[in-house]
Amino acid sequence: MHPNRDEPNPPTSPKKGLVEVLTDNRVTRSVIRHGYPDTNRNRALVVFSNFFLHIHPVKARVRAIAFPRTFYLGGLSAVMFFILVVTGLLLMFYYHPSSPRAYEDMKDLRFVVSAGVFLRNLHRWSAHAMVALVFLHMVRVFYAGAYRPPREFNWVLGVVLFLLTVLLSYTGYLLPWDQLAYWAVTVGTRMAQATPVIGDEISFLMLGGHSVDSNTLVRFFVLHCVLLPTVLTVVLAVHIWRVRKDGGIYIPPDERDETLRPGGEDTVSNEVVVAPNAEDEELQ
Amino acid sequence: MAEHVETQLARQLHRNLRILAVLSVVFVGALAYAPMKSTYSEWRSVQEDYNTRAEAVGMAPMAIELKQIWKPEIGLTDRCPSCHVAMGDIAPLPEGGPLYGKHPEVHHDVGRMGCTLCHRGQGRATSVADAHGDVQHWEDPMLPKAHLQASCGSCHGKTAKVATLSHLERGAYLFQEHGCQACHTVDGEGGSVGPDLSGVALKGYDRAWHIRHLKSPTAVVEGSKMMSFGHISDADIDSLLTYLDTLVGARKLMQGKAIVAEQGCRGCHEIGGVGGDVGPSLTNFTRLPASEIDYKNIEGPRTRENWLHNKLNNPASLITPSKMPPFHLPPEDEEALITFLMSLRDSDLPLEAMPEETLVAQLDHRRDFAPDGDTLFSTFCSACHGDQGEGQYMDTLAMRAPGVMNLDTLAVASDEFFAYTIKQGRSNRSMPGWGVTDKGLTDDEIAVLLAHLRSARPTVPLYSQVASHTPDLRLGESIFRSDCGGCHGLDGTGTVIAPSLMNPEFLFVADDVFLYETITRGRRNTAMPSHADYDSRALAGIIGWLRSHEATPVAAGVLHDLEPIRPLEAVLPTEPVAPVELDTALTDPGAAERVAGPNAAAVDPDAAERVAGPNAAAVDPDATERSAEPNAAAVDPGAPERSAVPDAVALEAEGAAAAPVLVAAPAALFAPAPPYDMERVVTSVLGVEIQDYQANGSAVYGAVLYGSLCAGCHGETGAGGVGPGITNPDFLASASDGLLAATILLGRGGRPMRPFGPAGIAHIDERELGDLIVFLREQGAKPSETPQGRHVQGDAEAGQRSFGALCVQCHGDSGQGLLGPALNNPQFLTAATDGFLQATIARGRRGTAMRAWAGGGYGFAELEPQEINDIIAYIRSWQTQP
Repeated sequence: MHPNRDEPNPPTSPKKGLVEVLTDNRVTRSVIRHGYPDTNRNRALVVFSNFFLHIHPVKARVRAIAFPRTFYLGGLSAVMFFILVVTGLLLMFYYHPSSPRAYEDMKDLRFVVSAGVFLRNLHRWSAHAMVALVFLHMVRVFYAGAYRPPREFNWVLGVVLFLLTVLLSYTGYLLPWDQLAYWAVTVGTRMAQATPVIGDEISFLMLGGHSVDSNTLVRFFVLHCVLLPTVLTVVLAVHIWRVRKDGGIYIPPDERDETLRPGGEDTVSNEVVVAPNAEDEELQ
Repeated sequence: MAEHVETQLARQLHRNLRILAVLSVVFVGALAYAPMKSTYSEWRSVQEDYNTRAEAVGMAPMAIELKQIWKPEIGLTDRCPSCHVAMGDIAPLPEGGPLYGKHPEVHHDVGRMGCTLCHRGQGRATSVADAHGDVQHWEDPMLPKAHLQASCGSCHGKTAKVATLSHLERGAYLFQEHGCQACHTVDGEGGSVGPDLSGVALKGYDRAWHIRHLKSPTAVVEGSKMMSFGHISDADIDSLLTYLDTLVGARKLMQGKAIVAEQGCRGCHEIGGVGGDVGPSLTNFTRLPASEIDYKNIEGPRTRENWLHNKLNNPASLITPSKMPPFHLPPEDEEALITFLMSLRDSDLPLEAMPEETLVAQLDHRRDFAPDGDTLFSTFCSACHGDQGEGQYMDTLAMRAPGVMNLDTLAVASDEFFAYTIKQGRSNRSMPGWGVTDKGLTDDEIAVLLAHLRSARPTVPLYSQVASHTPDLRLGESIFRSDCGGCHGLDGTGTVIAPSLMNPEFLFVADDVFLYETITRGRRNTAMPSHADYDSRALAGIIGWLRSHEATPVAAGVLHDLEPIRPLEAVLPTEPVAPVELDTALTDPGAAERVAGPNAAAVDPDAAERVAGPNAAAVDPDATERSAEPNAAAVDPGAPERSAVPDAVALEAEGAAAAPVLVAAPAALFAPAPPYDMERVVTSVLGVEIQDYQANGSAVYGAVLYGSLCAGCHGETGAGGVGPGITNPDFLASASDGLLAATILLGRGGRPMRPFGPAGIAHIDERELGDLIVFLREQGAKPSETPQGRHVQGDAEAGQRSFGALCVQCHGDSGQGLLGPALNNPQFLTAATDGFLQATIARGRRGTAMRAWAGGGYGFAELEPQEINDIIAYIRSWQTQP
């Protein structure tokens, strides 16, 4: 009904509704370069032309987007990472990576910053959830055999992502600068110290000295807030890109059918909302 | 088909979107909960309540907001005024209580100091439970009101010098007694004419200034209205000032600190860098994380103060086995003590914000206890040795702490013995070395402690009192037989332990003052204890009895002239000397010498020729020739009469000093008085009366002379060898220069000490005498770390038999100590000289299981003097075997 940019405008009707006025103008069309996704073409265009949606396939197998297939573990992990980035950024507004300010900032976040407790808790629980989800995601991928060719390298990337997740979790642990943090990091670096030959050097590199002090705090802060998230973002992008390039969610050959769901704006909601019923639909 | 799928999908989408919508609402609700928590916080309702009340009494309401006292320079963020609104800059409500009322007056400005520095708790928190610190993982809950002064102590507690509780209470009593509070206020009570003294010790305390001020106020404060208190005794002024020194505005804290001194906690626990190491250090004790406190067997609430209450009253229930004895203090004292213990932690303040006096006190390692002997003894010693130094059995250590103020201990133990023991401690015992670590006592403090120990002794009667009595000879004799006879022999003729007092030369040179001094002082590190417990009648009796044995000089006129040397016949004894038993003479060259006697030598013209002494004897053909004679004398029963050459005998005695035993003469060999006028011999050399003689000379020359003439017997430093120690400070203090000179000139008849005067062998002149005496006095003034004493000659094997028969029941079969103390302790064996051991065995320790073992007048003689020496030789053998 709504013309694509490439299509010539139909003759204007004498009366335009509010929706038409808002959508059918030059500015809107320059931003949204596709029509309402009520045709397969437009649905495909949505995915092609929208940056945020382009990670979705234009078409997906019904089986692939069924909930029991993936339990959405990978996607949820990504969502957790998103929440962590957002809450982490907000927390950074209140946080000094210095001793003893770090601990005092924790106390202030808890007692005087508006919704500070909520922010910290959200960050903390999301972090825990992300570690669990990433691990479960790996388990799921493993049992589904999704590491098989041509996806071997993506499995390797997945392992890297898991390590990055754990490292993020570990580096973040020190930042509250309380006794728990102090001793956890002391124990952790001592374990690193037990590495043969280069143990002492690793420990020194991690601590920025011989014991946990403000040097360590700065190192862990930079790792936690800059280095590791950046690396993780890049690796995550490659990871997802390769999933798409390898044909989306892995389906074992004997279960493959050729019915593909159309992509489009509703693919996201399809993945979440419709998918639970996809299996039923197939059974019908 | 496609149409059908589309429709069905659309329907499902519709249904699932509804679920999504519901979940979203729940999620938004959950989000809204966070700001709501802030809106409905406790502090908001408190502030609203304040406003309601304030409006009711017509006061201005306050803006509702978080309030805090923020002092970044001292790391302080206290949000307490958010609820305790009147502690900030909000006007207090009348009768507002702790929330809306005013803070009580304290030394600090509350607005500047904040709350948590004193009250503890969590200042940053904004909810009641968190702020008061009663939550998990917060190590510093608020201090209970009863112990609030602990916080004063954390910053200011190191400055005040606190004495024992009794001392403190006496000071407080005197403060009232002398009406000080008529003019001065202390802790809110008293007049306002003079300054408030509640915090007089806060800003440093100059004791000397206060003494001057008390005695003459106008001299130090111009126009002072204060009256002079010069009439108060020094002891009372001391107590008063000790009390004033504790006025830092925290009475309970100071009381607690005084209890620590009173109970001797530092004997086992180190506090602020000073104290023992039997128990754990208490220095930063209440900084111990709550998670490290074991509440397993604690009755009552899980708080630090209750833990301490349990620990004090029943230490064994918390730590088994505990070396700590239970302290059942009165509740008030216990509360004060706990307050003090709670103060033992480093302050939260950064260094630059600490009170200057505290920093100075810390950097200087200043003592936080009073420097008097009583406080020192209580602080360091009383926990084991008892409040009065009486000694006690320590259940928890399963050992007996000896009584250090036992009169017998004080009589036989020298200052060096105590000082060495205090400094070095006793390994394998609970006695730490207080002088070897910087946690212990300084030399000055040990000196004060020694004076305190000695103060337990009875006051010695003055010599003038003694001299005023007519001697009761019977009393003197009976005391001598009972107390002195064990060592000096019942008739005073000496044993292997102590010399003969019936020696004519001795009685001639020893004036009454010397006898008095020697009896009352004793002779440190020798077997001669100090007899401070005699009254003046007893002393007069003993001295008189000894004096009654003084030989009357031979008829005047025998010695008309000292120059030239008189013919031998002129001064020979008129009565023959009792013959010597051959055996004695053989084993005892000294005895042989005594038989022939220095007397003979003194008038022997040949001897005078040989005056150059031992060296000359060696090169003098005559001397060599004659030197064969003493041996002959020794084997010849008839020798004594013929032997006119005792020097060579004496030489042998010296030369063989290591092996032979120089026993004193048996009674049968009692030396007769020299047959010449001793006083004339001495005065002829000195040129003045003996009692007027003042030695004058050079110690350097004296040292040379001493080395060649005296060192052989008396040891290189004069501490004693074969002969007695003559640089013993007690001896030198007792003896006048005249006495020393006379002794050197006349020698001791019947002893190896030869006369060195004109009638003797060396012909020492007045100048040399002066040099020698000056040297001795200088030598005696040198302090020594370890007690110096001579070694006794004994047979360790025989000693082992005696020890096995008599001593093992208490001291253990290897001296390891059972009921009695361990004797095989290396520090003990270093501190105890043989003389100390002799005296202890002979005299015993009253009030303990150690009885007197020497004979004397008690009617029993368990051990002969030689047996005592044998036992000592056996005890000594442990010193070399680690």
